[in-house]
Amino acid sequence: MDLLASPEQEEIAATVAAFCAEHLSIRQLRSRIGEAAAVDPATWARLAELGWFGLGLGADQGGAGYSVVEEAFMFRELGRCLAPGPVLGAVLGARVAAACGDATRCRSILAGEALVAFGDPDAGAVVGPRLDGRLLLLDAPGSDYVVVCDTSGAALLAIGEVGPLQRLDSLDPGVRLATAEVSDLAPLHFVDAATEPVGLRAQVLVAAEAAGIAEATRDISVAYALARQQFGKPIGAHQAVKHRCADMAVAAVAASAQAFFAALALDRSSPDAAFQCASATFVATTAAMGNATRNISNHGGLGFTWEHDAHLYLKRAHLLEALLGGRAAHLRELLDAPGPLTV
Amino acid sequence: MDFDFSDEELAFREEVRTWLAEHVPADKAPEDGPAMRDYDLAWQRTQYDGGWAGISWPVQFGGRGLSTIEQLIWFEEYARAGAPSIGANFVGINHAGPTLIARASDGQRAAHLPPILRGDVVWCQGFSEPGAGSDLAGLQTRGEIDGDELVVTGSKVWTSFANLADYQELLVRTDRDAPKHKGITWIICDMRSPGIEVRPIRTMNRTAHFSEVFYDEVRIPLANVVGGLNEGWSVAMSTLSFERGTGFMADQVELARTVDDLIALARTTTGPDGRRPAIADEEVARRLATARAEVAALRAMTYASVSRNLRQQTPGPEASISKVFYAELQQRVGRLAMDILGHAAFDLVHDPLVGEGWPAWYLRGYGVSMGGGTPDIQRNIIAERVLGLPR
Repeated sequence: MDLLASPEQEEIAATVAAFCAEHLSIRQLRSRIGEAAAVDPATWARLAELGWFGLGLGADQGGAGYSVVEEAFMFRELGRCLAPGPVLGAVLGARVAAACGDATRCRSILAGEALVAFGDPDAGAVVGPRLDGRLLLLDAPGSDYVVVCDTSGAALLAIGEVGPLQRLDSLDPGVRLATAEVSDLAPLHFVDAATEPVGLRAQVLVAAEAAGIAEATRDISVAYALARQQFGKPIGAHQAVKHRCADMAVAAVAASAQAFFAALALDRSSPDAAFQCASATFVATTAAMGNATRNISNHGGLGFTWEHDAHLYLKRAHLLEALLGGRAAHLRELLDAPGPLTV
Repeated sequence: MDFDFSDEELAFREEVRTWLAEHVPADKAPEDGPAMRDYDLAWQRTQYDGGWAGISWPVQFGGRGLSTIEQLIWFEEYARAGAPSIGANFVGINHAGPTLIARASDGQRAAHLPPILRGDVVWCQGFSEPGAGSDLAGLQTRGEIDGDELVVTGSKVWTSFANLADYQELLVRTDRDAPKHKGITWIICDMRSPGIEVRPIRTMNRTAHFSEVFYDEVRIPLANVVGGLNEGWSVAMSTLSFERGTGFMADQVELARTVDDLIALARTTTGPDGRRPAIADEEVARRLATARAEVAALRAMTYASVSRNLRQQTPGPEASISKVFYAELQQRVGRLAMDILGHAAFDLVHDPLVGEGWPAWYLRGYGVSMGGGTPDIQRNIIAERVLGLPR
C-alpha cells in the first residue's frame, strides 16, 4: 500500500504540466475565445503523438498500457491549468471503441484524427443500447463522435446522429457548449458498465480535474497573499486570509487524496469502487467550487475582473460539478453503495 | 501508487480480526470516574496479555513494534469490531510512553514503560495553563531547584483524567530569564505527591474527564526530569507531533463506522414527516451521503499520511490538514445525529450498556475539535508551515 506518486507517475504529471504551460495555458485559452475549436489542429496532433488519449489503454489497443491512475495524474494537471480541448471525450471515446472491438475508430481517435465530444446526459435521459433524451455537449464543433456515459453504460455515436446542435453562449469560455436531442437512437457502440465501467472512469477523471482546480486556486491565492501588501504587510499575514488559504489547502488535499483513492479502487475493481468514485466526484467538485469561490474572495475586486483568471476557474468548477448527474446523482449513489466497512 | 496489501499484511488483518472478535468486552465503558479507570485498565491488560499492548511502541520497550500500515490495519479492525476507545490510557500509550521512549533515561524507561503497557497505571498531561493555551510556551508554573528536588508551584488546566491518574507528564518553567521556549522542563510528577489538588471540570456533555490541577510547593525528585533541565520544549514537541500524526488515526477510522451506524439509525428512526423513516427525508439523505463521502476522503487522506510516514518517519505539519478536516466533519456528523433524533435528541440517556448515546457524543465533539490544538491554531500551522504564509 502506497498512496504517493511513483517516480514514473510524477514524471507523467510533470510532462503534462510542462506541455500545458507551453501549449494549453490559460493565455492560449483566452486567445482562442471566439474561435471555432478549443485547440488548434497542430496542437491536437501533438497531444495525440504524446499518447495522451491512450494513456490508460493496453498496448494491444494502441495505448500506453498505463491505468486510470495515470490518467488521473494527467487530468489533475489539465485541471490545474484549465487546459482547453476535448481530452475527456477522446480518452473515453477511445475506450468505448476499444471495448466494442472497433480497433479502427479507436486508433483514429488515439491518433487525433477523429475528435470526440463528451455528451453529458440530462436527468431523465436514457443511456443504453437505445439512447434517448437531451445531452449537454462539450466541444462539439469539429467533433466526429459523441461519447455518452452514466453508471449503467457508455455509448459512442456519430456527431451527425444527434439532433441539430443548439450552440450555447458558453458560461465557460474554455469549453464550447451545445445541447442536442437524441430520440430512441441506436448508437454506433454501446458497452454496459459491468463490461467496461466507463461512467466510473469519467467520475474519476472529472474528480482529478476538479482536484487540479482546487490545487491551482489554492496556489494562486497563496502567491497573491504573499505578494499583495495592505496595512504594511502581506495580506497573508492576516488570519482572515491566512485561514481561508488553510481551508483551501484542506479541501485540495481531501479532493486529491480521494480522487486517487477512487482511481486505485476502480483499477483493482474493488467491490466499493462505485462508492469511492462517487465520493471522489462529490468531494473534488465541492472542493473545486469552494476553492474557486475563496480564490475570488482573496483577490478582492481584482477577483471580479475578466482580466484575472479567477472567474475561469470558477466557471470550469461549475461545469465539472454539473456533469455526470451532478451532486444529486453522486449523493444518491453514495447512500446505498457498499462502502469500505461493508465489503 | 498502489492499494495492495502484502500476504503478511492480509494475514495480520485476519489475526487481528480473530483476536478482537474473541476479546472485545461485551459491556460498554462507564462514562467517567473510578469505574471508567478500572474498565480502561482492564481492557489494556487484556490487550497486553494478548500481545497487543503498545502496537506502535518498539519491541525493545515491550511494544508490538508494528509498522504504520499494520497500525492502520489494527485501527480499522478495532473500529470494525466496536472495541472500546482508548479512554484513560490515551496519555500513557500515546503521549507519555512515546515521549519516554524518545527522550528518557534507561532507568526512567524501565520504571515507567512496563506499567503503562500492562495497564497498571494511568497517566495525565500537565501542559496547558489558564494563561497558556494555544501559546503553550507562555506557561508560568514554576519549578525551583532545591537540593535534589524541583519544587513546583502553579496550576494546570484541561488535564484529562487527572483525577484518575497515577503520573503526569508535567511542563514547568525552570528558567524565567531565558527566552520562553528555552526555560521549560519536562518532568514526571507522581500525582499522589503532597501539595497537589485536583478539581475536576465538568464539561458540556456532563462528564468530568478534565481537571484543573493546583501545585503548592510540590516536591519532585530531579531524577524525574526527562531530556534535561530546560530542554522541556523539545521533549514536549516530540509528543505533540505524534499527537498530530498517527495519534488521531484511530478516531479518524472510527468515524467511518459512526457514520454507517448513523445511517442505520436513520433507517429505523421516524423522520420529520412523522411517517417514513428519517432516511426517506431528502435533506437527511443528502447530509448522510455527504458525510459518507467525506469520511471516505478522510480515510484516503489517512492512507496518504501513512504512506508519507513510511517514507519520512516523523509526521509533518500536513497532519494538521487531516485534523481540521476530521474535527469539522465530526461536528457535522454529530449535528446530523441530533437532527435525525428529533425530540429524542433532548434526552441525554447515559445507559452504560449502550455507551454515551448520540446527544452526548455530539456534545463531546465540541471538545474533540480543541484537543491537540484548536482548529484555528491548526489553520495557522497549515498556513505558515505548509503554505509558507507569513506569521
